[in-house]
Amino acid sequence: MKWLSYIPICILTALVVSSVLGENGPLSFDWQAIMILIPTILFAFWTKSLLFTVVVGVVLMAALRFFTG
Amino acid sequence: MANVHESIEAEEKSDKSFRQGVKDCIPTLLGYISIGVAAGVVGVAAGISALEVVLLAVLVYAGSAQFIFAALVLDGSPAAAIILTTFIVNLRHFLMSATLAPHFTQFSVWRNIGIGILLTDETFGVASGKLQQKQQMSASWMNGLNITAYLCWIASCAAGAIFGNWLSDPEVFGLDFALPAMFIALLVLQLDAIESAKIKHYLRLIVCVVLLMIGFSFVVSSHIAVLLATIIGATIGVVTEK
Repeated sequence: MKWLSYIPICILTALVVSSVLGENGPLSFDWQAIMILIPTILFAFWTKSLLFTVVVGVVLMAALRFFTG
Repeated sequence: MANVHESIEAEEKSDKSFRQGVKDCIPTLLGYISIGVAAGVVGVAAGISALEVVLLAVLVYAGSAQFIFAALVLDGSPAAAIILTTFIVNLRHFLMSATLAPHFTQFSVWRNIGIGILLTDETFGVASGKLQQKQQMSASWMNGLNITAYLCWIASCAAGAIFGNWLSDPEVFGLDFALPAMFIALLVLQLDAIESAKIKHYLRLIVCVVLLMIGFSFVVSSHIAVLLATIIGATIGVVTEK
């Protein structure tokens, strides 16, 4: 039963990692996503808010795509 | 006057009616609305139709499972992998229902199954708050709590799905990043709730899972990697715990 308490942290970490792994085989990374990942993590720690973190992440990603074409 | 006020308050606290359950649910509704809307938007961005998003809300009724469902569908995972992942993610409900069950023994089995099925992290939180204050709970109070949360969740998911459909090309708006951002926020909130003595243990565990994920990405597809890394990560967590 103690095992279950570790599931949320592990699965969330795994899902975050899988979202930044690229589609071109092993050791390929989605650098765009990783660049946005870092400020999003910091923002999440700062605000502790689900909604704000999602909004900031999305806006940052949109801005990055807009400026890099 | 103060005495009258106190006695009214005391009466309200011991009130076990359906209506009181609805009232006790209200503080948690903002959480349901924000996560539900996000789940709807993310689902649509992952290519699930608005109707399917609503069906997920009605039938699965689990925030994290619905996000993971969207991520796995986007990944092209087989149904078996999605079902197994959902099962593991929602196993905690087994624990929550088992915790509350001793306090509902006087009600019928079917009523209790109904209560268990609609139990969520938040309604469990409210109910265990009552338990901590040594207050009695009734089935109708619990139903009021659960059903309010359930209806609010379905409405929020539907609103999110409709909103998501308005945006024709979600990638341009960075909406595909809503899912990873959501997972980051959930992870940070989980870490925030951990007592500081254990935080190092969890951070080491996160590093382990990251390495496991990168390692597994050499040999299996990403959805299987997620499953394996989670199961092995949780096992490492238990084994290395002091």
